[in-house]
Amino acid sequence: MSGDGPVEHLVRQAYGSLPQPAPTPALLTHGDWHLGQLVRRERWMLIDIDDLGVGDPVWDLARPAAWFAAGLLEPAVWERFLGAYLASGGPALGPGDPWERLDVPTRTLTVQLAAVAVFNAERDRRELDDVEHSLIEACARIVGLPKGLP
Amino acid sequence: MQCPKCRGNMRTYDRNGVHIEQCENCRGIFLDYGELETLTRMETQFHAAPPPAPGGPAWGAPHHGGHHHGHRRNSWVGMLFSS
Repeated sequence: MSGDGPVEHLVRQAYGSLPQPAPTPALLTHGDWHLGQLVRRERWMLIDIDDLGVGDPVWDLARPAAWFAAGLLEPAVWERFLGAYLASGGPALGPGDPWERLDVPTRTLTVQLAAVAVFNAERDRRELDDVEHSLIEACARIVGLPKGLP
Repeated sequence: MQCPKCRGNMRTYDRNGVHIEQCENCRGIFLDYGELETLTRMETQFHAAPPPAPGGPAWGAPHHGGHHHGHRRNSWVGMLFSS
């Protein structure tokens, strides 16, 4: 993302506003989780363990959470995903409001996805599409948050 | 108490903690001191935006989902399936 227009400025501003993440619990983390890492061969398998390591698994949830927060995933779909994760004993979120732990990583992933979107559009010399615009709008809402949150 | 307008008999009601007198004759309403402010405050609270629904961040999209179904572009599929 090399440009210096208002969109790039906004994404950088959102990046600058990100709070420090909470201390990391030492748990198994995939590190690059997305739907392309799921393969069906008689049963579902999770592949690509290049970034597997010990860390905070909430970051694995932050990408779909960012899609939800940008309005790209419908609430019912997101809640089904989150509910299935919690029901199967997923360790990333404690009891109580899952957004207490999700919020900062989700903001971070939103900014990252927006920066990648702007980079791709620049590279392909095209305008941002609707989906990419949703991410930029989410950055604007992050920038608009009162200071000191959470 | 007598109605100041038509001299009818005023009857007292309590509505949501607000003390009002209503004339049984002309149906006119008399408010005690401060009760108009109480009603105004209640009206403001009623019309205020509801607090954000639980299950989302404070900065989340106001209308989740459904906006891009008709004209989703390649970037969405790419985003789902790549880093």
